Amino acid sequence: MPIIRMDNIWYAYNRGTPIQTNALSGLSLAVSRGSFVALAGHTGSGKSTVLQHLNGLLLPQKGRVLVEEADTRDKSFRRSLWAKVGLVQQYPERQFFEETVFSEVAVGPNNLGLSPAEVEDRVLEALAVVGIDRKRARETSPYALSGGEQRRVALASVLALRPGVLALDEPTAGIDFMGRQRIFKALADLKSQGVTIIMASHNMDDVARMADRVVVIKEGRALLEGSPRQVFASQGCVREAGLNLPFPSEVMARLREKGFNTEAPALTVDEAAEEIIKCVGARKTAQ
Amino acid sequence: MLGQYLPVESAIHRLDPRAKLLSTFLLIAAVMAGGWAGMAIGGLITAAGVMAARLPLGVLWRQVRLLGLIILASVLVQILFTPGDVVLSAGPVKVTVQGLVSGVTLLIKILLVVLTGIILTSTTTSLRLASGIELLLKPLGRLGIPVHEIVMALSIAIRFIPVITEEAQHIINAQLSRGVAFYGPGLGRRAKAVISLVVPLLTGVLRRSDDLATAMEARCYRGGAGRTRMHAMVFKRADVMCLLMTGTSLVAAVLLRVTLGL
Repeated sequence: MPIIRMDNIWYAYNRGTPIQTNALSGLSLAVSRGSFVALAGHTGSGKSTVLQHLNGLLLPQKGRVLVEEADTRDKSFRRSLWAKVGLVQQYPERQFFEETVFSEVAVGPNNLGLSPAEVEDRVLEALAVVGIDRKRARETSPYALSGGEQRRVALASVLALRPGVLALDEPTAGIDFMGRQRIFKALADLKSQGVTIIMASHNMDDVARMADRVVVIKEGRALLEGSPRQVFASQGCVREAGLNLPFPSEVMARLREKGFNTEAPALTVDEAAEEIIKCVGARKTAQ
Repeated sequence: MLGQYLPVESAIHRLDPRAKLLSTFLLIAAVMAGGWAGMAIGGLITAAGVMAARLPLGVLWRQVRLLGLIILASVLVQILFTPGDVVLSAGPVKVTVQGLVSGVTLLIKILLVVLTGIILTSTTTSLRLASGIELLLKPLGRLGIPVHEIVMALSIAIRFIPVITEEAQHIINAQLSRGVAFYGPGLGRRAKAVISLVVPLLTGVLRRSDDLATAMEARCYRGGAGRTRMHAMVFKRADVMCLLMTGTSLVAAVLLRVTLGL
């Protein structure tokens, strides 16, 4: 049974006014427990709107969203939903309001009504996952950190809820290489602990590297769904959605255009290297 | 949102913002200075304006409703506290004929003024409105008043209202996702919720204004002197007609009131 199901959901902003914009037009989606699903789409394709439906911030105007079999339109269920589905929005570091990193991360657990000892446990655990020093966390203001560290603290502030599902909106936007590595390491650790992860992204290299399922979204609809290998094999469809291929797949596609005999859509640089050696070798023996 | 611009293609949208601003003032003056005749003329022109601007009535109604409480309160005060011939009384509360009349008059006048304002703001972008104000106030520059700078500050403020509203919603969503209670009971928790919104919002506003200042400096912005416009404003026949119509309605309203008492 999928942990999350969206059945034919519709959502429009400013509905019924001349400036109405349709964000979702009949999107369906199923996410199985423990998987890492990437929502790939161009800016304005409706990715963020999908994520906000997952923890009940938005309710579908048509269709339904089921989280662990329960409908998000059910008010009493929705009240507890924020702790079940942790949402990390775009630029989450813009939410900081506490004086120290520690108390910033403690906001969520405190709102769960846990004992101070339990809150501390969860905060320290979350900080450890994202690799922020616990001593520094007690002394430093979140605004005094670097951009990459701020992003990780914001991630920790949601992780401290210990959500079974984690929804992330462009978690690495505007973050440098090292910062991205650390965020992805944290996400990989969480996945190995059984957390279901749903990540919206328009960076296909990130998608190819992290996801085990990809849903390509265009104009509020799911255009294509499958494993990264399947999805990036259908080049035309991915391009139609306004996306590029991951860099290694792009290299292989260009080589194919130049007449090299290779059909695999490489997802990682290593795969691409292996494939290139193979087909260059094949060419030499043919000659 | 009150005063939101509605991008529709219409004759009113195309009018010069100066003409629209002046006409709005003339129309409001006609309604306020005139009697019943003024209200009738103002009402006709406002209705014509709504039709010509192709504003959906539902949107109009939603905007007026935002001011509902204020309008209702002022009308009730008029009805209940005007001395005169009592028609209805319940204990200490007395309703008089004069009270009813002035209450209804006030209701009509407020509605007309609000509607005229809504027509102006929903057919004119804040940028064009600000340029219009700037050009109308230009003569004040001779008195040493920095008109351009004031209008620039004003239009930046207006321009950023939707941006900041959106940012506020983003922050509220982030805090709701961490279980901060914006809507539930409990004064302490609600106070905490307000702080969790205000602190990041202020930080964001400061960051934005810093960025904007840098961007303006980088493009050598130096204020108003000798500045030209991307869209030069020219009065067209429609603008003159509009001014003539509203100007005549003011004169007519005042004359009718003074001479015939209407």
